[in-house]
Amino acid sequence: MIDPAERQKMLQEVAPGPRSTIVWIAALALAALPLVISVPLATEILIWGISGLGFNLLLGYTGVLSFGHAAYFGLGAYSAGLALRYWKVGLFASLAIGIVSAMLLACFIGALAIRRRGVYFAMISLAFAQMLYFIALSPLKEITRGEDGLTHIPSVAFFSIPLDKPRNLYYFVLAVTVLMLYLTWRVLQSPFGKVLEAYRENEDRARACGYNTTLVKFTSLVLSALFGGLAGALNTLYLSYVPLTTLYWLTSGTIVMMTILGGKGTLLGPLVGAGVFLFLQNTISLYTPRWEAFVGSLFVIIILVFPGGIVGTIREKYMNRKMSKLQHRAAGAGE
Amino acid sequence: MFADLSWDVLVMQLFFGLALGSIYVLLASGLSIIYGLLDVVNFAHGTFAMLGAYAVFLAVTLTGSFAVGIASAVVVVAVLGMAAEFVLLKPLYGKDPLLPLLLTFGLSVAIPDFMKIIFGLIGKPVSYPEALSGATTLGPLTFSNYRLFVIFFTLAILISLWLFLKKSDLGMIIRAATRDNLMVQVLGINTSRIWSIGFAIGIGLAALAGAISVPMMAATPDMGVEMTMVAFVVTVVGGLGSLGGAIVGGLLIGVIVAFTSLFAGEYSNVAMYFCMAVILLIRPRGLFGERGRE
Amino acid sequence: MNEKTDQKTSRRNFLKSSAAVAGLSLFGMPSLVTAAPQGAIKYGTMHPLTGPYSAQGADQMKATQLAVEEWNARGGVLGRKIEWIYRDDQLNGAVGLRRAKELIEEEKCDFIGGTLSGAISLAVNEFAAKNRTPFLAYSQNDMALGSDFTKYGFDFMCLPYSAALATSKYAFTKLGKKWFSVTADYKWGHSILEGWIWQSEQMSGQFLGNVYAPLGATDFSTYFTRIMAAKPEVLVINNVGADQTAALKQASELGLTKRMKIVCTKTTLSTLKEVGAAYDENVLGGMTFYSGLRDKYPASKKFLDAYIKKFGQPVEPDGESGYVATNVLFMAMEKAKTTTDKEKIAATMEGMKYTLTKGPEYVRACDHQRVQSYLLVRGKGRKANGWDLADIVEEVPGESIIMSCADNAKNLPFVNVKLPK
Repeated sequence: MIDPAERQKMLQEVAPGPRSTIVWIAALALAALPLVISVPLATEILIWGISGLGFNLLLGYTGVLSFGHAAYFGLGAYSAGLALRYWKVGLFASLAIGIVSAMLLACFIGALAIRRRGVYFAMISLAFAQMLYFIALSPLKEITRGEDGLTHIPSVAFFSIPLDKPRNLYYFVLAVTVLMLYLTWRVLQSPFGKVLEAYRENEDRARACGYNTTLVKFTSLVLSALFGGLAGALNTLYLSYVPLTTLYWLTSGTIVMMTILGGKGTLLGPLVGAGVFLFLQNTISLYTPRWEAFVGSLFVIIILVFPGGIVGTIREKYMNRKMSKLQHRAAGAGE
Repeated sequence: MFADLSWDVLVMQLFFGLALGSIYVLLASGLSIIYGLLDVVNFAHGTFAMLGAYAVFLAVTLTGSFAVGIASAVVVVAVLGMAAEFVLLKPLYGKDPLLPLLLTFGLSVAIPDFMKIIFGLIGKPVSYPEALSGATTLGPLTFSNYRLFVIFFTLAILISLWLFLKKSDLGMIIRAATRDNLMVQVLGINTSRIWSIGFAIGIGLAALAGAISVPMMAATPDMGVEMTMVAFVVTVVGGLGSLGGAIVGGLLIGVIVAFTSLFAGEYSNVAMYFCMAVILLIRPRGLFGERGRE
Repeated sequence: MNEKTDQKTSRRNFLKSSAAVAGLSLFGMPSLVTAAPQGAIKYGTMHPLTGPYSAQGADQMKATQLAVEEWNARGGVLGRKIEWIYRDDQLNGAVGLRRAKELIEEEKCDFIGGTLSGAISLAVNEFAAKNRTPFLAYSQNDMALGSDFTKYGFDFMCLPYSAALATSKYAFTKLGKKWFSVTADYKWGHSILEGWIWQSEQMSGQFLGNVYAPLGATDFSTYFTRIMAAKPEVLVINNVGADQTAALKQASELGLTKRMKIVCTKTTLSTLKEVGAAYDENVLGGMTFYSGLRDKYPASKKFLDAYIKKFGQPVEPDGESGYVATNVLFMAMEKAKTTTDKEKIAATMEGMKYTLTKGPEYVRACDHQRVQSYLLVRGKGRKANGWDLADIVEEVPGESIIMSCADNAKNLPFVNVKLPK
């Protein structure tokens, strides 16, 4: 017989949540990143990583696929950019504006479409993002400058540290990333996080347990938009420019690919995915412009063979080993 | 705004809208069949349309005949589609329903790039077939022969499709499998093969859309993206899984886009998304969608 | 625990791949010139090698490569070899800026160049100026105008309005005064349209109307009803790329090419190829360079022979801009007798005269704009053969299509032009 404390420990081993130490170790690793790769590339990995964290909350943990996350990224980017250029706001105001505008958009889209089934919602979210793109391109081009993108965005400072120096900006973004990572971890540990996973595993059962699944989905969407808008605003700071492509469908597709590549439903998946994707894109395009052929094919293979992504597959392998060890132990203890 | 437009301009605009809508119908009906039967949202739908365009180019270059071009485009691409379904999609059935969508998305990113490697970066031209060029005039109205062809050809295809689904045994099985796959299996029919055929039909329709479009532009690797978007929008408007919805939705959107171009040209591509948003507000399941399927 | 191990493993993976990158960067990213030793001049360029204009982007890159190799074969500039690095900007503003950052901050390029999109050129120009690095744009853009002008930015194609002035003048003189336009709804299209409207007012043209088509439109039939009703003598097409291909094909489908002359303010070899037989004698296009010039200028023949020998086919105008830009940069270094004093080199480029690919030309000092001729070509339709796709009907001198220094500086030229809604 296994004594209850032992069993509790085994269960914890079998289905643990990530420990908070992960966050701090990731932070350390990322702090060292500029030593091995270029600072712009590292900054981009973080920014896309943040949007991926939010997207993963929606896809990996709630199980809802949004194919139009560029809308939140782009809206966050544009609103922050416009605020910086025309209202001359400061750093935190611009980030706040980016976040709030994206969340409002998510409320709007959520109100319209969140009840729809998975694939239907994916299509609708994509079409909404496209609409936003075309609106920014033509009808609103007085404001967004359309094709040209938004230029003449002044640089800001973090208290007294100017953020137009690449390294300063990187470490600021790193701080934000670590904060968001921690936040994600907290959300996942919280009761709400558990409800998300319950919903993902079996929507009907979650509803039968009395949870308002529509509200759950809605909250998850708005939360993911928070991350998206923040990432967009940070992107504006990083580039001092808002290109129209932040709203383009390929941006949504990129977020999807990065998250799946890294591992949906894992805490660090989005960051790893962003890193691998951008690194591949960067390296392959040095040899041939046809990097999309490689990355697209890789993505197809990942879906077929390793749907858990990089982090997911590694965790699975580790879990299998752990399981067989546990089984041995249980078999031994049963004698 | 309306004063300076005579009735003949409006009639011609309607005509162009129907021609545009016909292409939309072909795209959306293919997507609808695939979704209805296999529960797969084919993100690579426009990519297969693009392959159809290239197939026509190759066939016309080799044989000089546009008719052969269209026929071979449909057959070749449908076979490619079946192969893709067998190798790439079948392994995913029964697993997370989002995986097929993601996989087709990956295809939509990779395949155009491979086309660039094989065919180069410059698009491939296909001339309007001699027999279909020129225009037919009726008083002040001038209808381009090619667009007349597009409208009537699409009509013919749709009628054939309807006949096939309603009257043939295979069509009946497909309809049944769309309604209740399990039951069809219980009756001893190999649904796996049915799905492959259904997928091929859907892809064939996409290839047809690409094939007919190509004389009006050129076969370019990236032409599929917009076509996938259009298929999505029309399907949302018409109702996922409804063939009738795809038809009505496609024509309706085509006409709306045409008239938007007339009055406010720069909004013409926003117009279709706007329609979609309106439908979502007032009738979320689409014009002909079934309740519960959304 | 297992997550820690995941993290360790994923971090290990990450470090491994990062180490590979670091290793690669030590050996220098691939440049088509073998990595030169310390002391090489670093020139970095970016082009849209992916995306809808990848054909033009590829030509930009290839022409730059040709120029750099020619100079290195002659021993470099003032004894120093040139190390050239190129990157893909994916026709994407974010990526373009990232490339600019990489080229300037990481690769420590002394000079940068390239870009095809006017918008990206402007953004990169702003960034390069902040970093005091000369930037040679290969694109049609408004860098020379007003507040977008910087001391470090140079443009080697032309201003959009120049293209408009050249083509419109020809149209109103030789083709007809009644005109209607289809304009792509973004800044470049609008700049072109402004030029046409202004010229129309100067030359008593009759502007019958305009329709805006969104960027990326594929069906123009819905715009043509208006045009057919208006019955113009000249149909002006203000778009490029796949949009133009679709517009021309559908114009011929509807029989418009028989009823009126069509003028594409900016056209490319790709479009000539893609449109095929429909690009006939009733269709004219504007370009800054075309291979037909080989019969007129020895310099054109020399440039084309070298390019075709190396790459097997003629060059897009965007490539020719790159060739000229790269050459002018090195010529300026030789003239200024320095390869390091960037401000001096920039100053030397101002007003610099040369004959490289066409007749004699110069870079205007006040606004850093290359003053070059603009060609009108007429399609050959069914008589086209291989790359012999068009005949040059007119070469409009550069001087006649650029506004005065004062006008450009104040962004004035068309301030009174009211664009239709």
